[in-house]
Amino acid sequence: MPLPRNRPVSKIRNKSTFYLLVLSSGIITSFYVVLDDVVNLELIKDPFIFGAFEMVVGFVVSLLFVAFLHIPFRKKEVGKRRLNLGYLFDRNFQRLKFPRGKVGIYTLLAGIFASGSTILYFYLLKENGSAVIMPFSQFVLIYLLIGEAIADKEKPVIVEIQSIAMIAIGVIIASLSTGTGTLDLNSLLINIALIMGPFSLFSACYIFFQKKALTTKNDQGRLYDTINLRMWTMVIIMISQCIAAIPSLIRGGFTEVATNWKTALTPVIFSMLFVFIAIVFSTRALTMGKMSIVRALSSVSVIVTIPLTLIVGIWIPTISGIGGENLSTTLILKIAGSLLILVGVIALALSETRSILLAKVKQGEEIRIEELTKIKGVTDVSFITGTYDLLINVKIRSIGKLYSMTENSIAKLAWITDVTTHHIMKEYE
Amino acid sequence: MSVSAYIFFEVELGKTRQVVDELRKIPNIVRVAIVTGEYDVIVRINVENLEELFHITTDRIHMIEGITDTQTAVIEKEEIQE
Repeated sequence: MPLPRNRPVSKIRNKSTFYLLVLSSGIITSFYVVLDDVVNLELIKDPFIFGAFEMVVGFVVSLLFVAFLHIPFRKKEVGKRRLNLGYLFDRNFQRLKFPRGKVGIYTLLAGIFASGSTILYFYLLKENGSAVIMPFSQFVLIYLLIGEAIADKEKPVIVEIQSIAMIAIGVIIASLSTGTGTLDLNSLLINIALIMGPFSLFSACYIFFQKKALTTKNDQGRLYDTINLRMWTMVIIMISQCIAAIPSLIRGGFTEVATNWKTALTPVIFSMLFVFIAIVFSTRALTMGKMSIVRALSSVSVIVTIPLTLIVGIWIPTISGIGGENLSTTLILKIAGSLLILVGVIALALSETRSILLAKVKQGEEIRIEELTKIKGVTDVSFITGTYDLLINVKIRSIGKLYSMTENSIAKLAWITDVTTHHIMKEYE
Repeated sequence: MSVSAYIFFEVELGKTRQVVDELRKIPNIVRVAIVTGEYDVIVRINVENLEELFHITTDRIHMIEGITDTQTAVIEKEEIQE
């Protein structure tokens, strides 16, 4: 078990790097979405062809980047492996390799769902513009929460219901557009149905299988890495995007690409590099701090997109989502909706309570540690010396849930006895 | 071979803030939690070996005013989810 790196609690430096990483990841996200929007609006108008073009370029860019990550950077070896640049981004990365077995299946499923959401992303981007797409992307949280509640067979707690309501209403408000002066109810309904239905469901399934792939060990007991996962899902997305683009290409879309591909190439390369960097930054941040904070802070992209579209709007007034006669009304709607989403996400992310449970092991009973670690909310378990035998760190949404967890899961384990709970009132990490 | 340990503290009434501030100055301490229950403060410490753990606990931690009792629990094995 590798020991966590010494991270003194009083030092500011690490903390600021962490915040910088997460916030940059969020801001970079807004940049690539707006960049996509511009290319889509000005150069390659068909969303399917644009998607396919971007994915093909993106694949090449990412492949070159990953090749660069294979460069060894230090002669030092950890165990039998030589460290390369990729190690800086993900400690599990060794080289690009084809995923096999269970991990392979999870990657394939992640790729298929990612394809679904990416194809819809390009379609929705075309229909609504970047200022609307960003709030949409937060909607997936609602599905993840509902999925969690179903898996736990638990009623959601009040903060979860509040956040779900805030995010849902925020998305609806932010997607309203009065660009033409009147509210187009039909297209609004279609959009909401698309976001609430397939787009969010696909994204939720993508996140689920991504996590599955990253947490499943292969035959040698090694974990998969984010760089490989990103590359292989990208291959699947690229293939699906190309297939989705065939009808448009047959209908004469090919000429559009043929005339504009050179101009579109630079922004698309930048966009795909931004995507890669945003993903790498947030994954890197994940290894340094709490996941909930990473998720909450990266939702800053929802807000950043608004001024960005406004700035771009000076040159390209038609950039969708914002603009038209009722600029101020649209802006107020967008800002109000985005703020609702942001507050909803942050409230949810920061509402977790943490506890430390101390327990004794019953003599003569076989210890099955995986029974403990598989319980939802248990982050880690340590065997310790002294009065108690086990220290269990728990992260859960409410004290009520902690009660049902100890009562229904931990107390039922035959080999555990005498559990005492310490709720953390304040914590420094 | 590095060693990690949890240290459980009982703290004199009204001195928690002071004790926690002092504990946070020790670079090997990676986590400080103020808790409810049997103990008042729980910290996690990473050191190179038991010798270093001994030095830090006796020379630095036990010198902090306001701590009434400590219990050090060395981690023998750790299982992390995910």
